[in-house]
Amino acid sequence: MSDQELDARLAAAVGVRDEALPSLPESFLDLLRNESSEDLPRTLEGLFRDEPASVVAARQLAEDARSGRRASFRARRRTLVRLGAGVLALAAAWVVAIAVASSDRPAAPGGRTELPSGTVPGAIDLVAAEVVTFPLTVEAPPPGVRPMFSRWGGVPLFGDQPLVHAADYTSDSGDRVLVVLYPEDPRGMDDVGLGDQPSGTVPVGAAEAEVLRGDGSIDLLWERPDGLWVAVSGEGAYSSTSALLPVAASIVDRPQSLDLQFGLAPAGWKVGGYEESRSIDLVSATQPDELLRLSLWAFGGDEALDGALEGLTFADGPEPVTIQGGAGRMALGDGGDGSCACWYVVGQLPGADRLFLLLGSDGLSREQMLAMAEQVTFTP
Amino acid sequence: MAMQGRPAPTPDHPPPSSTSLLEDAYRTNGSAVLGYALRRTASREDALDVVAETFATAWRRRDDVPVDADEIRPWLFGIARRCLANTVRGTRRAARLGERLAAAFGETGACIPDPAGRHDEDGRLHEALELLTPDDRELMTLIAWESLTPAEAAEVLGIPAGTVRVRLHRARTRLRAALSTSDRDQEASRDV
Repeated sequence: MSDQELDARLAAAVGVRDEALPSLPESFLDLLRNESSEDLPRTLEGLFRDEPASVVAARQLAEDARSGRRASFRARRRTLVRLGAGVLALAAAWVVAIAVASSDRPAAPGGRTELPSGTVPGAIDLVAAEVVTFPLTVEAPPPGVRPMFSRWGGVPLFGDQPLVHAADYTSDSGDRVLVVLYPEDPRGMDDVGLGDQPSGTVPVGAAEAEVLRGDGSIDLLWERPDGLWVAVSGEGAYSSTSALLPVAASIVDRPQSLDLQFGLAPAGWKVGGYEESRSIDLVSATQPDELLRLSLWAFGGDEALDGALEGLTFADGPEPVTIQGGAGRMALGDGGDGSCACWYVVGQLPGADRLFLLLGSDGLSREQMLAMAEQVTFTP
Repeated sequence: MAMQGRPAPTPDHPPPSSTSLLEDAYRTNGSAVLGYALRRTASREDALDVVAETFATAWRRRDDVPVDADEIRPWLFGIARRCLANTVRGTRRAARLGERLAAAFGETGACIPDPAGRHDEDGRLHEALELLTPDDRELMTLIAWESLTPAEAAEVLGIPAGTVRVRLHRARTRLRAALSTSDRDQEASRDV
């Protein structure tokens, strides 16, 4: 589907058109004008307080979960776990037959746990998860800025979209460096958003990078010896070649681990994507639509634990559980009104004052979900 | 820096007050806010609640109204977005301002379409949009339906303009993938 076709399809689905709508009535403006501000409802004021990013993220995750529950209503022929684009929409047809009791799991080096391999034919075993990494390191990054790593494409969930990795260094002041690794020349790809004004070339290490200028931004684009392409974009203080070049020249092939990690995962499952370092998807190699999502949640505390599941409906109410030595909650969505028939596990990350949410198919066992939750790590 | 869309103030022409700025915004952007709400709610009543509360909130916050005319619509959509989230979460409002807005519309005889009556749209596209994260879905529709620029959409979403580039790319990629899956499913079901 081309850019133009997608835009046309979106535009056609607009529904109500503004030009067909009346102006707002003057009498309502009179109401606003004549009533003192104190008389107007203030129930929304709380929405406009400055909120920490974690709270905003938590709200988004809650909305994701609700969206997923809605989506489950549209489950089609197959029963799937679908956790694409932040949404868990599932109906699972897994054969899962592993039961793991945390008390009798042997500890492995590094604090992780080795599980007995599956003995049930057709079962999904839990094994040590692969470490989730971003493939590049910027040795001279913008100072004081933590990168947010994203990865998308390259798995059937994304159709034929190519695998793309991105590291976003954005400061509070809006200065920004974005490093993106493409499998091919991105100028042939849709929606890349590189500058449209070619402005010569500059050397970046042994490569010759093209300089592309955009509206308030600059991009350096070059092909690596292995055929991959790198785009380094700068904005704000990095919107000049001289400021951006040292950052681009410091990029090396050294993987960086994400702060958030699975410790255990179903055998054969691979990383399907990650989003701004706060959420990781694992996909099944054999059932590519089956996914697990691990996401950072808000700050800790019992209130936050309960709040994480607030508004969702479950077959049985959230069950208090112990995860990583702390209080947690676990529940199985009932698939009812707007709900998803999937596991919701909320745990606290020791020492990080953060919560995490693990969503998974109801085809996984309760014990498996708890075993995976037990091994989640977050090391900022 | 010169202001856009408005003559620079001079001693004979003082800058407009925040109240007059907001009144202008109500008259010139009211339909756009109503359209925004109708496209994102399940009922006309919910949409009117969102519009009424958006302008009530804007009225209380009129000292914050942007001076630059180009920034007013994103500012209003930013408020509407929060009001919409509040409606979606089902918070009970102390007073249904939307009912008063509906009554005001009733006096004018204006006809407001009901989102509940929409049946002629691209259902698969809407399903695919629901597979995006709420923020990505909002980004896509702010640009496609509200005709905002990516920078204006960034203002509405409260994220750096540069971040929008990545999110837009990602969201469009995912939307394409979801649509492709949906289209394939439909073709397969036709073949059965």
